[in-house]
Amino acid sequence: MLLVLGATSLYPFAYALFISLFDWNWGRSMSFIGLANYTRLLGDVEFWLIMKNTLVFATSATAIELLLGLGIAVAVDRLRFGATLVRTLLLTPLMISGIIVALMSKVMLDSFLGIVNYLLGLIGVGPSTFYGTEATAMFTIVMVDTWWQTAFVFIILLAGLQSLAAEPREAARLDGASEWRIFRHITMPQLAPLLLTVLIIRSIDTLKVFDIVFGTTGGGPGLATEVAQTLAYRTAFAYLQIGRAMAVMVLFSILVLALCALYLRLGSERRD
Amino acid sequence: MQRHTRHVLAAVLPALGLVSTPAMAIDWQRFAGSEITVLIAEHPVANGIRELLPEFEEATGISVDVQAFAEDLYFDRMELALRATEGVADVYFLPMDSTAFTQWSAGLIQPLTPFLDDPELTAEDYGLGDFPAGFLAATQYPPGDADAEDYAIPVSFESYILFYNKEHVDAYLDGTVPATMPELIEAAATISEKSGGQVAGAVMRGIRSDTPIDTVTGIVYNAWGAEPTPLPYNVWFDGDWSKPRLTDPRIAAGLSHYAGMMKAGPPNILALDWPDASLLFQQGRAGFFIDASLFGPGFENPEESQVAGKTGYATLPPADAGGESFTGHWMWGLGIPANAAEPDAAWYFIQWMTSKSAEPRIGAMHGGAARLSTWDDAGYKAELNPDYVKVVQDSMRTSRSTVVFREGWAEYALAIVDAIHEIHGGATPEAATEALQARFLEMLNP
Amino acid sequence: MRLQRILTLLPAYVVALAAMAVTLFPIAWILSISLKTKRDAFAIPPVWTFAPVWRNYLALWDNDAFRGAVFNSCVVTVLGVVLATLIAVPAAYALNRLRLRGKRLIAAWLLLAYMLPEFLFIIPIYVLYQAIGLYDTHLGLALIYQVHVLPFAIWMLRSFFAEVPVELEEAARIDGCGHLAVLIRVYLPMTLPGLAATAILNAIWIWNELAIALGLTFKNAQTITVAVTSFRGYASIDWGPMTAASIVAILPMILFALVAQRWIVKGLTLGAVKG
Repeated sequence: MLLVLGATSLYPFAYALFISLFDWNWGRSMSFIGLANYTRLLGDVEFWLIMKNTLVFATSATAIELLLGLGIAVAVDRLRFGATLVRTLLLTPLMISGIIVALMSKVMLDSFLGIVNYLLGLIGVGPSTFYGTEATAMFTIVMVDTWWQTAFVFIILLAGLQSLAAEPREAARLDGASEWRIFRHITMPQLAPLLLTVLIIRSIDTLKVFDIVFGTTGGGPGLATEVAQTLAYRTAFAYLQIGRAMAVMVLFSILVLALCALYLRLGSERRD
Repeated sequence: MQRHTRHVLAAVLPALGLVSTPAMAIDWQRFAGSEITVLIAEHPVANGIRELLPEFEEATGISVDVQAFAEDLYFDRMELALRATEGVADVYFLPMDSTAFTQWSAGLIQPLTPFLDDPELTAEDYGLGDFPAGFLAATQYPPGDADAEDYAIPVSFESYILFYNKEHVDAYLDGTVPATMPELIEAAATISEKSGGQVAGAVMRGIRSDTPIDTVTGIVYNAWGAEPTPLPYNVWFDGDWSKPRLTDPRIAAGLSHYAGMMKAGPPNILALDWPDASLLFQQGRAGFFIDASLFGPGFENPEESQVAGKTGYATLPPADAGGESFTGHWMWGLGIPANAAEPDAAWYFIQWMTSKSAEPRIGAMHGGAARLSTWDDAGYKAELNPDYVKVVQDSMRTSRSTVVFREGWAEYALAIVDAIHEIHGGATPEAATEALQARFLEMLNP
Repeated sequence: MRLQRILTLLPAYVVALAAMAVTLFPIAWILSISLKTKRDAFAIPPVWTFAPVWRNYLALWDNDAFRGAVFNSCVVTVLGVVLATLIAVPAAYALNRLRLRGKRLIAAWLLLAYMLPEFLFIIPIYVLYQAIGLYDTHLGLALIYQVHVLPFAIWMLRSFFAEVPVELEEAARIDGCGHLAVLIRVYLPMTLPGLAATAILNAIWIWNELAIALGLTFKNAQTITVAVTSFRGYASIDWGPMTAASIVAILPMILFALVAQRWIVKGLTLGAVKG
């Protein structure tokens, strides 16, 4: 079964690698241009800016979601009644598809028609442009992704917390240790491997972000929120430069792999 | 109210024989028993087709499966369907612009001229000449060739016009509708100011994308004036792909007009795509809106719109006092993929749905009928706001196709939109268009 | 004593309630749009009291394509999650406890599969599927989704399995249990919360997936997410039907999450027994 998985994952990657060496417009003409796509991209200032945006988004979103998710998981773990309901309700944002989240957020954060600006106005905070200016757009997208995906971190960490053996904590409590100390010295180390896994997974997910960028700002204003996947999509389907788009994806995959290798290194070092 | 009327008309007209049945010289039952799939975007044309479908199926015995998707999903589906090894669609909704051109270049669509020329497949009174030549030219390939063939039949068009909120114009401008573009930009700024930020003087598509290019082109035509802009190069190139003329003062003027309108927009103008912009106008929060005519009927729907009955329509104000108004148009059509399983039955479908009898009924749902005769059809006009009808007809007289026959045009279009954003951000039109010209030359000679 | 207990619980409840409020506000807003006319839906200042308009939901009920899409999504999701779980459980166990050659290689493979962006798939797999007849089928979708959900499941389960104390396994071994029995009697009960969480997340991911579903289905296996995002018209978004469809789309997932969580409760009680 792992072989099937391997085949299905390697075949598209090999295909992409192959196509990226060509200049193909998804039509009849396909000319071999070797590494030209790559040299062009790597020498393009815009490309690096876009990669930087992707990294900025991924790190901010992952960090915030991890912290919030952990905090909420710890809190919900302690609830006595209503826990199941709370858990399920907190999961609901995740159940909405990305593009709907994007569309709804656009309308809710609109300068004129948005409920959020209206409510902010009620408490005296000036209206914000959210998606409309370079300064605020990225932050807004991170915020929306946080609303959408924190539940992901939350439910995994909660499951982790609930699988932990209770004795060490009970023993420490009997010994008179404070909750915070217990958390720091007993719970966290126990959770650490799971945390690392979630960190890697969320990092990859956020690096691959698409719907909530394309569906809201389209990568703008200017290039402020353009990320790797929106660039690839645009290059492939709007410009019909399939070869170049595949090159973007290959370079991007290398970036992600490097990042993951880094994480795994850190993780194994910690374990030792 | 509109719905009821439409249904009454749909029932009454055939009965009164006002609608001539297209079954003249051909055997409509010839392909009875075939099944076809129609791939289409969610558009009133789709609704019109669905409504007329039972009639078509009865008249021809062809059973039809309509697959409709939201526009952006549709584009992805369309591209994949055309390239499938086994055809999945027999008829498809075709954007009559560089997208179709690219598809033709890749050998993905079938010419319709063989069908049109065949007296056994096309009714005598079909009336291809009823479609404006400029409309058909958008999908006649090879472009500029004397023996070019038609690859699509237009089903809906949109021209770029000015919508204005009568209430806001009365309140802040003493009821004067601006007569030139510079006046319009000033008036929009005035509305923003006088309303204390409550109303956006104007709303436009401000998002960074290649999709506003058709509206942009319309406004640029308006600044360009009467000089011809032959296809395939259109206004952007001087008769040759190697000669872009983005620095022409008229183009610079047009781009700065667009940017000027954006400046009077809401604070988040750079995030607004067409659904957001039209929603803002529809809910009464904007004074002016320049975009596709087919937003019009939606503004007049009292259940959805806060500006029903309060919307004014006008052709684009000329660039100079005393000048003429020009604009652009864009069209959807119906075409047959090269890999279609049932091309003949597909042609019957297209013919029937675009016939003189069916078009007014479908057209009434979107207000952008492609046949000239439809615009004189009483039933069609009864569905729509009379000011709207008049303005669209006026615009059709001086409207040019926004098509540019170049593969990958979207990348160039995006560069043009970027230039507008630069002007919006404070750059001078000259500086922005010079940078744009340089960018074009770069893209043309990689 | 009572008071002290309440005090320690209080922050937890405050956090939980705050999280709920922020989480549910936009969803309540979506719900309100689905029940209002378009005029009211976007009115600022907002229209707080209104007579609910049910026609959006009624229209969905009458919509054959939508009902079909709900069915298709259910089938694909169940298929996808079951496949992933069935394969991931033994795989995670193997990776954890057995001595296998090339563990690093497999881990890298999983990583690669998981991080491949969706666009990479559509064009090549489209061609392949059309050739082998998996285009527009439930199975075809469920299979291609494995490329994402399987690595995730294996990864997560491996983490959860790693937390099970070795002593328990050794005790079972001494009792004469083989691998399968150890798996079923020791690992599964202890990691039910993790299993449930993984299943829920995979189900949600498959349910919401758009790009691959759009590219690899046509009419037979069209999923609910494609259907929901189709409620966008030519000149405006059909907010009413779209929000109603979104709400309807959430319901099966909520149901599944509720059901899956009973496993957690079961797991907890079992865990308590093991003491």
